[in-house]
Amino acid sequence: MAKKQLKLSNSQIKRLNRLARIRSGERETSRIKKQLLATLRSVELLNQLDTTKVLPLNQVTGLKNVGRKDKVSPSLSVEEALSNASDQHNCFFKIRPIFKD
Amino acid sequence: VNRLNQLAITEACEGLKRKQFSAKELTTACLAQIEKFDGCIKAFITVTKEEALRAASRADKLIQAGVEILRTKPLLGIPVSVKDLFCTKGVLTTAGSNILKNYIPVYDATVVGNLKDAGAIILGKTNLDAFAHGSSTEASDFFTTRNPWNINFLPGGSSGGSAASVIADEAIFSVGTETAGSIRQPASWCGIVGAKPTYGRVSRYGVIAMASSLDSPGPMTKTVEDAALVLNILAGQDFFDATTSPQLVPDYLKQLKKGVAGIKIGVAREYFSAGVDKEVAAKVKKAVGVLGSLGAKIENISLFDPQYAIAVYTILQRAEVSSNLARYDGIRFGFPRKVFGEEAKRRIMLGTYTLSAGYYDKYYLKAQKVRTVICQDFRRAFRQVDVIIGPTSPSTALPVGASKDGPMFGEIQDVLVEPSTIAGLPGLNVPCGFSAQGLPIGMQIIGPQFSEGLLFKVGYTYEEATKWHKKKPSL
Repeated sequence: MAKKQLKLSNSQIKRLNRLARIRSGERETSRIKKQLLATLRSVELLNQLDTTKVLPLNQVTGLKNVGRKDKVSPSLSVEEALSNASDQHNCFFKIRPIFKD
Repeated sequence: VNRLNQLAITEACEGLKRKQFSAKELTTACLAQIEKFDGCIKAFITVTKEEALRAASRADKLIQAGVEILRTKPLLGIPVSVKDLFCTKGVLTTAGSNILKNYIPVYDATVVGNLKDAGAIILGKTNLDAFAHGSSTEASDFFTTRNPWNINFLPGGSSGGSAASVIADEAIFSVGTETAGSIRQPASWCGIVGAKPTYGRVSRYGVIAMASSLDSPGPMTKTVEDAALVLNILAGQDFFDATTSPQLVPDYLKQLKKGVAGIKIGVAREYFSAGVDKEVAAKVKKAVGVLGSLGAKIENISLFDPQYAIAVYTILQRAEVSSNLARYDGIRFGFPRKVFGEEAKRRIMLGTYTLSAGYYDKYYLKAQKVRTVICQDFRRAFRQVDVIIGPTSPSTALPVGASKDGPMFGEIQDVLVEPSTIAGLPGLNVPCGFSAQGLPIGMQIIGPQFSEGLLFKVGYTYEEATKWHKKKPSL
């Protein structure tokens, strides 16, 4: 049986744009689409390996359930936290409205 | 006599201790070198001249008060360049990206804090591929750094600015970060020592994240001894990074000079296969021969085909990039997402795809399973040998413009470092000669997790026997 050629539809690309909150122009989108396909095809070779009996790796040095004491400690001041904000109001980050009234 | 800025850390420390020169003179020498040559090399995004001179004066006062201080502050008065991926309090930190071109962190990365506590003087922040996405510095949103050996060639990357600043003697040493190759490959192309520690040996806190399960900060230095000295200061568990290891940090200088007698070195056929430049392969094999003549035992071994590691790396890295770059919303810091460059967009899109419903098992989960296989393969190899040596990069430095060819440029460049990085292993680049064109060649020494001390010992023994590190580019 011939191997199914990997494809990406324009609606899939649009969905990805939405999920990733990335906007790009038409030409850039078609370039990215082409490169995405090339990259996805290049990783297909992993399918040659049988991994049915292999567990996925979780943490490479084997750490498990790392916790720390829930202790209050000094942190950033409001001024510091806001020092890189694009906009602020009364000690809060100011953003554009996300609901329509 | 060396000019002050040409000194290695150990030499500079000795000079400061004997009061042959001051920290201010040492810092001024580095700043003068930057002023003279960085217009051409472009290693730095930001130079913090005033802060550096002030820190140097403070260091001099401490040394005047008594040289015993050098025992508790082993880097006191030593000028360092810092990859612009590490947050530096009050100092612009861009990650080489337009999104963060106005970002001034309100805290220091743990690595930066450790350097400051040890007395190091920060000269400035070095160029990199934007968000460390690349192997050339050509993907920097600002400019391309040039290789000091020949400015028509690339320095490698992503820590290319750091590597160039060290070999150009603009800094006594540098700190970089590696996800796969970003320390070792530019170290190789620029002819310096670069140590990528075991994952979790050095804290990632305050490092602008690329791929969180792989990122490893580490030293980039003129000598192996310097790298060991710096890792002593960087390594250790960090309250702010839960993935740092609780394993005790040994004194990496302790076993440094004990030689390689009886150490088993593995040479993997797969690391010398097609695609590796003949000149590079020959020099690395010759270097292994030198270690053999110094008492190491050389064994031929076989490793899992690195092509699979490229595929695993591509999937994992893109997936982790897409989630790490999700934080850039232009609200709390930085510019809005529309400012992302095409490389970042491409990686975010691919990562989003491989993590999205219906594709997770096929891509991400599959990659994590093959990652287990790669780890097992290395464990098997390290039952047979103590360390593995191979070329760091398949080629010497490539000409400016070379990275523009394809979306997989980095992966192909980094084919020889990706398997070890996927397994969280430490790797050390040591210069091992020059091509006919006069460009540096590097070998990498890879060991089991937490075997940094052993790697330094092998690297130091080779360096002492060959002295490639004494060669400098004529600027």
